[in-house]
Amino acid sequence: MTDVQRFLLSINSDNQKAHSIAKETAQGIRILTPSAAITLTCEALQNKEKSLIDVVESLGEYINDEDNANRARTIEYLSQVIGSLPPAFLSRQQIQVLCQFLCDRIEDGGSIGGLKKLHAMERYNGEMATMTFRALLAHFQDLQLRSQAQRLQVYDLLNAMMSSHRRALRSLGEEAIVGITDLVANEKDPRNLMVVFSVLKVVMVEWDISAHAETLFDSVFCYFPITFRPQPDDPYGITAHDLKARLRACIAASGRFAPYAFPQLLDKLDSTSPNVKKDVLQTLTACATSYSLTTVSNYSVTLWDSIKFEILNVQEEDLAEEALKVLQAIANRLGQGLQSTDLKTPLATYLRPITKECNEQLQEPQHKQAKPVGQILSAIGIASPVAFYLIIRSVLPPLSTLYQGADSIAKQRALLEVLVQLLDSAIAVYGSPSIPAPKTSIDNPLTPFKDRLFELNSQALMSTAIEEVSFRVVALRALLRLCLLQNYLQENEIGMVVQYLDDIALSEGPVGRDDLRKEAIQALVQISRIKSHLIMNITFPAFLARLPDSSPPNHRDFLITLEGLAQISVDNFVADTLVRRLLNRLDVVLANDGSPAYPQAMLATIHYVLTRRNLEADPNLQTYFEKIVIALVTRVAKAASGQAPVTALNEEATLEILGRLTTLIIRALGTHKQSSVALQCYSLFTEEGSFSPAPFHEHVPGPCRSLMIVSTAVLAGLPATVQLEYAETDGASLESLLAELVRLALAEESLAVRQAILRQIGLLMNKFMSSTEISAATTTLYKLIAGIAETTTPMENAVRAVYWMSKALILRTVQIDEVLSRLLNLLTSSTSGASSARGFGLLLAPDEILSKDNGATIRLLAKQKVFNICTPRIAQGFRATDSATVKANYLIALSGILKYMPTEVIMQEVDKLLPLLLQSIDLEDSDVKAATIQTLTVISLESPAAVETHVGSLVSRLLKASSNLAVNGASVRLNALVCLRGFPGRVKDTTLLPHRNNVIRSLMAVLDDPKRNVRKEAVECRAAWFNMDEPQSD
Amino acid sequence: MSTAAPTTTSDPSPASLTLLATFIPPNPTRAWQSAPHPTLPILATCFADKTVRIYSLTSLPASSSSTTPSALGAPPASPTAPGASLEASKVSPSALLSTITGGHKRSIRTVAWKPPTSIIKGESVLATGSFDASVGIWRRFETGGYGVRGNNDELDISSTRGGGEHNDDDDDDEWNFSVVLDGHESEVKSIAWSCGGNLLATCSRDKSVWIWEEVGSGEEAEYETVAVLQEHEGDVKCVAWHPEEECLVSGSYDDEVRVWRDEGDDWGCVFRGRGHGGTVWGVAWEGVRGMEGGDEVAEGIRKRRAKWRERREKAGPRFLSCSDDGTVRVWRKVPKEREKQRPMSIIRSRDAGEEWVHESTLPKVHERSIYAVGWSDRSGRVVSCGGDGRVVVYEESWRVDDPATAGTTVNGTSAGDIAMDGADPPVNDDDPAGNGTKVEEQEDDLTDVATWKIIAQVEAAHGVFEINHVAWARKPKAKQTQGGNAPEGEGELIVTTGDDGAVKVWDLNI
Amino acid sequence: MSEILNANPTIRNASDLPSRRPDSTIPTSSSGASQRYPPLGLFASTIPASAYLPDPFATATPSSPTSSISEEDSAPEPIDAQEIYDLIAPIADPEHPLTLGSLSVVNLPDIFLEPLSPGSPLTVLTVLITPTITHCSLATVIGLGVRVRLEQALPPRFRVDVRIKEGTHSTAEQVNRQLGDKERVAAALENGTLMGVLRKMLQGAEGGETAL
Repeated sequence: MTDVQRFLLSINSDNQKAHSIAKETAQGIRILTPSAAITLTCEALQNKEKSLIDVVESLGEYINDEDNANRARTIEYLSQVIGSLPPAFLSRQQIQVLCQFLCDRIEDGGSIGGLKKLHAMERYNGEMATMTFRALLAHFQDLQLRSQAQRLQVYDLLNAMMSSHRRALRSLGEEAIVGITDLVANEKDPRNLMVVFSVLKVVMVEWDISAHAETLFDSVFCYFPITFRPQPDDPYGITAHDLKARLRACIAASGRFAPYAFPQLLDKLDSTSPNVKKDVLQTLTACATSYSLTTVSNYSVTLWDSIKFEILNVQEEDLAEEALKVLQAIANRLGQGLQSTDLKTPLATYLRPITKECNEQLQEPQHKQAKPVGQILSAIGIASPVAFYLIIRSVLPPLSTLYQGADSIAKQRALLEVLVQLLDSAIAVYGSPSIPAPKTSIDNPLTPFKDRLFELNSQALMSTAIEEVSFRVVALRALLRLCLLQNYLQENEIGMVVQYLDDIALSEGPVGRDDLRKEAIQALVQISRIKSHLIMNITFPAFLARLPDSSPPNHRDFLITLEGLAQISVDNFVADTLVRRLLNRLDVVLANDGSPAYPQAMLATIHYVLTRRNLEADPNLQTYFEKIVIALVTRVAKAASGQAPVTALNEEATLEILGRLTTLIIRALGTHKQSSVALQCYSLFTEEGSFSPAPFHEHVPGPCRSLMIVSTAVLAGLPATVQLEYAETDGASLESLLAELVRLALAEESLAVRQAILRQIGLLMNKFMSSTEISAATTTLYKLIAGIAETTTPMENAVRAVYWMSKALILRTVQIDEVLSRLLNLLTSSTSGASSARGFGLLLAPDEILSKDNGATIRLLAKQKVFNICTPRIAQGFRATDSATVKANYLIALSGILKYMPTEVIMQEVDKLLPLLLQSIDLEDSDVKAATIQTLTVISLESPAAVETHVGSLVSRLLKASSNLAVNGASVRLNALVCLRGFPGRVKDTTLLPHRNNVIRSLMAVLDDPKRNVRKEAVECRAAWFNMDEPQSD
Repeated sequence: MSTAAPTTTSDPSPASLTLLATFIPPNPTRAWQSAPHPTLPILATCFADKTVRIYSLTSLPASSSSTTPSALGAPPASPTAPGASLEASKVSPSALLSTITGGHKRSIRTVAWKPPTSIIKGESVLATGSFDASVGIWRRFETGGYGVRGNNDELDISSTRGGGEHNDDDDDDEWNFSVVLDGHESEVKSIAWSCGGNLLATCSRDKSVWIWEEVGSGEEAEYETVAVLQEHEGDVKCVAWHPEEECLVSGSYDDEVRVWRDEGDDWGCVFRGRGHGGTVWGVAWEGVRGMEGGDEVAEGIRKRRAKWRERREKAGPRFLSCSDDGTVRVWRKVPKEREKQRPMSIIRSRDAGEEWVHESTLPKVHERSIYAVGWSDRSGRVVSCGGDGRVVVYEESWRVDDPATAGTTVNGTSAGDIAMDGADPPVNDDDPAGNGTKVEEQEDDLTDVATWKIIAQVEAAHGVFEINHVAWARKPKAKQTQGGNAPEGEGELIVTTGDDGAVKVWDLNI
Repeated sequence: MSEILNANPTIRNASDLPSRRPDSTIPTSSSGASQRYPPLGLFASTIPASAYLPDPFATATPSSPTSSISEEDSAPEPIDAQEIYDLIAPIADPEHPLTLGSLSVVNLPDIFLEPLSPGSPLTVLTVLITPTITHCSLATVIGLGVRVRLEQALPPRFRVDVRIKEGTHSTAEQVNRQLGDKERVAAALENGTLMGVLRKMLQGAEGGETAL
C-alpha cells in the first residue's frame, strides 16, 4: 500500500475502516500519523529507495479523484513531502515539473502551500516564479470570494516571491504591477492587509510606477483613515497602530503619489474627529520625510497654509504638536545639506510665508498668538542652521521693535517668551557647553543682535517693578540661555548676569511667590557647571560678604544666603572652596559669641554639601577629617575641660549637628583609620589626661558630659568590628562599659546628653555586642525592669533605659518574646505604667543614630513580630482590667506600636483593633490622640468597609476631637478633620447620610478655629460632606 | 467662638425682654417664620428642611414680670454652636406638639393660621407657602390634644399632650394636607388670611399677588382665584390684611408698598407708596383700638391730642413697612370726605384710589436690613428684627412738652422725637397711580402730638445669626400670674425666629 | 452655553497672584523650651527632627498628662483678607478653564473686613468682583458662586456682601441687589441646575487643581 494511501487513511475520519485495511496489509505496517507517513516517504526519497516519479505516480488515481477533499489532501501530502525535503535535494528539472504540476491545480487546496515550499528550493529560478505568478493571476481573479485563510496563503506566496525573486517579477513590468493591484483589490481583513501593504510598498518604492501612480495610490488610500478596532480577544494581536504605520509607509513610499496624496490628505484634515486629524498629520510628516526635495517643495506652502490653523487656534494640544512636526519635517527635508542662505532656495520660499504670517500675528494687539508663533518658529528653527538663520533674519528685527513699542508688561512678557523659544532652538543648532552641536559653516545669526538682546533682557530683569514676578522670570530665563549659548556672550557679560542673579538670590523680598529667587538659584547652578570660576570670583564674595561675622539676635536672613550657597555648590571644586571659606568664617563667628542658630546653620550647610558627595572617593576626605572632626572636636573638648573659652560650639544642639558631620566623615574613612578613631571615641583625640570623658570618671562636669553627644556620633560612624575604647580585651569586653553607660543614663538630667547616652547603649547592644555578650546584657535589662519601681533615680530615666535596651534587642529580634512580655507587664504597674506605656512608641520609631546606614542590625520581621505578640496581649489585657488608668496605658502602648506599623500589617487585625482605637480618641494625651486618629485615617482609607460598622461613634468622636480647643491640640483637631474628610466618596453614602447634617452643623464652629491650617481643613472637610450628592428628593 | 450674650443697649430703656424659652429641633436648619395661633397657645414655625413644627406655649417657665428686670436682660440665648451644647434649662423639648412634613418639595417660607371666627368648632386650619411655588392648606380636627372647650376666648386647656418628637401616629393630632393651591410661577414669599378668614392672599417672586376665596367649608372647602394683581415691578415679599376691612397691603423688591381693595367689580391698587430705599421685607397693620389717655395736661395740648385722636378714628388703622434700608415707616390713610366738595365727576374717575401718607419713621437702630415687624393689636407696641441680630420694641406716646418749646423729651431718647418730622417729610408726591391731590396744609400741625420711642432692645438675640421673623403672641392665661402692674390683657409675648433654626419666646417686662 | 462672550481675557500668570509667605524671624519668645529652634529651611532634611523635638517620655511626667500645648500652637491667626482671597481665587470661571484669580475677577485689594459696629461680634465682609467684560451676563452666577463659597467656608458671625465693583458692569445695580437678597440666594441654592453649575465652579476651589 503506498504511503499516500496510508496518509489518506490516517486522516480519514472513519478510523474503524482504516484499521481494518491496515491489518490486512502483509508487511504489518502500523497505521501512522500523517507526519510519520511523510517522513517515511522523504527518507525513502532521500536514500534513493524511491524516485520522485514513483511518488508522483503513486498519487496516481487519487490526484484526479472527483472528491475535492481527497484531491486536496493528496496535494497537501505532496507539498508536505516537498516541504520536508532538504532545499538542495530536488534538481531544477524536478522542481520545474512539480511547479508546473502544482500550477495547473493551483485552485485546489494545498497547491499554494506546495508552491510556497517549492519556492524555497535552491534551484527554484526566475521563470518558475513568473510561471507561478501568472498562474496566480489567472486563477485568482475573484480572490475576495475565497476564505480569509486561502487569501492569506496567496498573499504569503506573493510576498515570498517578491522578497526572493523580485527582479523576475519586476521584469514583467506593467503586467506585474496591474496584476498585483487587481489581485489585492478591496481586501478587508486586517491580517491580510498587513501582508498586502508590505507587498505593495516594495512595488511602490522599487519599481517604475510612473504610469500607474494614481491607480496604485488609490488602491492604498481607499483604506485611509483606518478606523479598525481589534476585538478584545483578537488572537493575532494586530493593532490599529500597526495597520496605520504600514498604510502610512505605502502612502509615503513614492514621490509620485504627491499630487494625489497631499490634496486628499489635506481634505481629510478638517474632519471633526481628532484621531483622524492626528493620523493625517502623522502621514503628512511621513510623506514630507520620504518624498523627494522637489516634490515636497512644490507643496510646502500649500501644506503650511492649511496646517497653520491647527497651531494658531489650538483646540487640541497634541494636534498642535503633530502639526509642528509636519512643519519641522518639511523644513528638514528642504534644508538637507543646504549651506547657502540665499533667498531663492526651496527652503527660503517655504519659510517666507511662515515668517510673514508670524510677524503679522505678533503685531496683533493682545499678543495672544505669541505662544503658538514661538512654537512654530522654534520647531522650524531647530530643523537646520540655514532654517534658523532665515528665521532669525526675518523675525528678530520686527520682534525687537515690537518689544520696544509694547505698552504693557503682559505684552512684553509674551514677546520675551517667543525670544526664549528662539534661544532654545539656537542652543539646539549651535550647542552649549553641555549640549554638543554639529559643526556648521553658517555663523550664528544672533551675533549681530547680541548687545541689543543682552541689554533688553538685563533691563527687563533688573529695572522692572518687584511685583512683576512672571515677567522678570521670563527675562531671567532669556539671559540664562544667552549665557549657555556656545561662545556667544563674553566672559564679562556672563559675569554681569551672575551678578544680577546674585542680587536676586540674596535680596528678593517676600512679595508674591518666591519663584524668581528659585529660578535665580537654578540659573546660578547651571552657570556654575560651565563657568565655575565666575561663581567662585563673583558669587562667593557677594554671598560671603552678606554673611554676618557674629550671630544676629532675632532674624535668620543668613539662612537664605547659606541655602543659596549650598544649592549653588554643585561642582566639587566650588563645594570644596565653600567648605573651606565657611570653616574660616566659623572661627570668626565663634570668637564673638551670639545665638547658636548661626553657627548651627553653617555646620548644617557643610553637612548638606558633603552629603551630596561621594566622600569615600573624595580627595579632600583627609583634610575634612582633620579640619572638621579633629579640629572642632578637640576644640570642643578643650573648651569643655576649661583649657579654651566655651563657645556656641559647645551648645548641645550645635554638638548634635557637629555629631552628624562627624558620623558622615568617619563612615567614609578607611578601616585602618576607623580602628584608630575607635580607640579614642571617648577621649576624643585629646592628649592624655587633658580631658576626662564621662564614663569611668567621678563627678564629671556638665560640659564634659555633653560631649557624650560627639562620642555617640563617633560610635555611629564606626563599623561593628572595631575594638572600642574602654572595652576589656577578655571575653565580655563591653559588659562593664554597658553597665557604666546605664549608670550614667540613669543619673543624667540634660535631655540631649541623656538621649546621646541612651543611643550609645542602643548602639552597643544592637551593633557592637556579639551574640555571646548579648545574653549578659539581657540579664542587666531584666534586673533593671524588675527593680524599676524602687530605683532611687527618677523613675522615667529607668524606664527610658529599659526601653532603649529593649529597642536594641527587639530590632535584632533577640529574645523578643521574653522582653515584650516583661514590658507588657509593666503597663499594669501604677507607678511606672504611664511612662512605660509611652515607651512602646519608642520601640519601633525610626532613629537616625540607631539606623541601617550606621550599621545597626534592623531585622525586617521585627515589626511584624512585635505586632503579633503585643496586639492580642493588649486587647486581652484591656478587656481584663477595669481600672481606667491601666486601660489608658494599654491604649497608649497600642497607639505607640501602630504609629510605625506598616499598613498591611495593621489591616490583618483591623476588626479587633478598631474598638480599641475608637476608645483611644477619648484619652486626654494630645500626642496619643493625634497618633491614633492618624492610624484610623490610614485604616479608613485602606479599607472603608472595615470602618463602616463604627461610622456612628467614629464620626461623633472625630467631631468632638475637632473642636474643644482646651483639650485638643491643633494636631489632634487637624488629624480629626483629615480623617473625617476621607469618608465621603469612600464609605458608602447610605451609611454617611444620616450623619451629614450633624457634621455640617458641628463643623460650622470649627470654621472659626484659631489656627489657619485647621480652618482650611475644616472648609475642605465641610465641602466634601456638603457635596455628597443629595438623594434626589424632588 | 465668641458667644454673643444678648445685652440691652447702653441707654437704660424703660423696659427689657427676658428669654422664656427656646424651641430648637435636633437637627436645626434655617427657620423662616413663626405664626402664633390667634386664640390657642400654640405657634407654627416653618423651616428650610421643608417641615412645619407646631410648638406649645403653655409649657413656658413661670415668668413673673415682677422679677427685677436683670440689667443684662435675658441670659445668653444662643449656645455657642447650635446643637452642640444646648442650655437645658431654656429648651423645652416637650413643647413640640407635632411636625408636618411631606407637603412641599422645597423650603417652606411662610405659614399662617386661619382666623378662628370662620372655622367650625374644634378645627385648626393652617396655610403654608413654599419655594416650590405652591401653597398648602392643612386641616386638623382636634378631639383631644390642644382641643378647645368652652367659648373661644376662654382658654382652658384640659390636657396638654406632653411627650417629645411626635411620631406616635395613633395620636389624633393628625395634620392632613387637604388642598394645594398651584398658580404662582416661582417661590411663594408670604401668605395671609383676611380677618374674616374667607380670603387668602399669596405673593411670589413672579411679581404677582393672588387672592383666593374659600368656597364651602370644612373638608370640602375649595379655593377659587378671585384676583391676580400684577402691578408690582419686582418680587413681592410680604402681604398683610387690614384688621377689619377687605383691604390688603403688600411690600416688594421694587422698594414700594401698595394698598389693594375690592372696588366693587374688581380688585385694584388704590395706593402706591414710594419712599423706601430698599426692598420692603415686611408690612404689619395696627390694631383697631387707638391710643387713649394722656388728658391731664395743659388745655392747648389736650385739645390738639383730642383732634389727633379724632383724626386717627377717621383714618382707621395705620400700617408699618420695614425695609432693607434699615427704616420702619408708619403709613396713615387720609380720609376721603374732603373729596366730596369737589365737583361730582360723572364717570367714576380712574382715581378712585385712596390716599395714604407716610406719617412717621420709627427711630433708626438696625444697622442691616430689617426682615420683619409686628404691631401688637393689644398694646399698640411695635417690634422689629433684622440681619444685625437685634430685636427692638417701640411704643407710641404723647409728646409731653409743647412743640413750640422744641427741646429734647423727658426720657432723653434723642432719636425718638425727631422721628415725626425728621429728614423725610411726609412725602406724598403726586403719584401717577391715581390720588394726585396735594395734602392740605392743616394736616401738618398735628404731627408733633404723638411720638415713637424705643422701649426695649436685645442684641444678638439669636447669637451671631440673623433673625428672620418676629411676632407678638398672647401669653397663655393659665400661667399668667396676677402680680405686677401689668394691666389686664397686657400679657404679651414676643416670638423670634432665626437662621440658627431656633424659635425664641420673650417676655416684655415694663 | 452661549458663544464665549469674552474669547480672550488677559490672563495673569500664577506667580503674580498674591500669596502668603512664611516669615523668617526666629520665634523669639520660645519660652523655656531648650534653645532648639525649628527646622533650618533647606537643611531640615539633613538635620533630623529629633534634634529639636521633645523626648517622647517628657510627657510622661504625671504632673502634665496632656502634652503642653506649646505656646506656638495656640497663638490665634485671625481670618484676614489674604485668607478670603485664597478661598475664592481658585473658583473656576463658568466659561473658561481658568480661575477667578488668574482672570483678575477677584483681587486682594477689593476685599474689605470690618466689624459691623465697634465691639460687635459680627464682621461685615465686602467682596467687590470685576467682571471680565462690562456686559458679562455671567456676573450674577460668578457673584453667587463667590457668595456661596464664602457662606459655606466662613463662620456664621460673618455678614457676606458680594457686589460688582463700581463702574465695571452695565447692570451692576440689579446684580448687586440680587446678590444682596438673602432669600433669593437661598431659593437659588435649591434650584438643581443652578447648583450644578455652582458645584462645577467650586470644584476648582475645593480640589484646588484647576489649571492656574
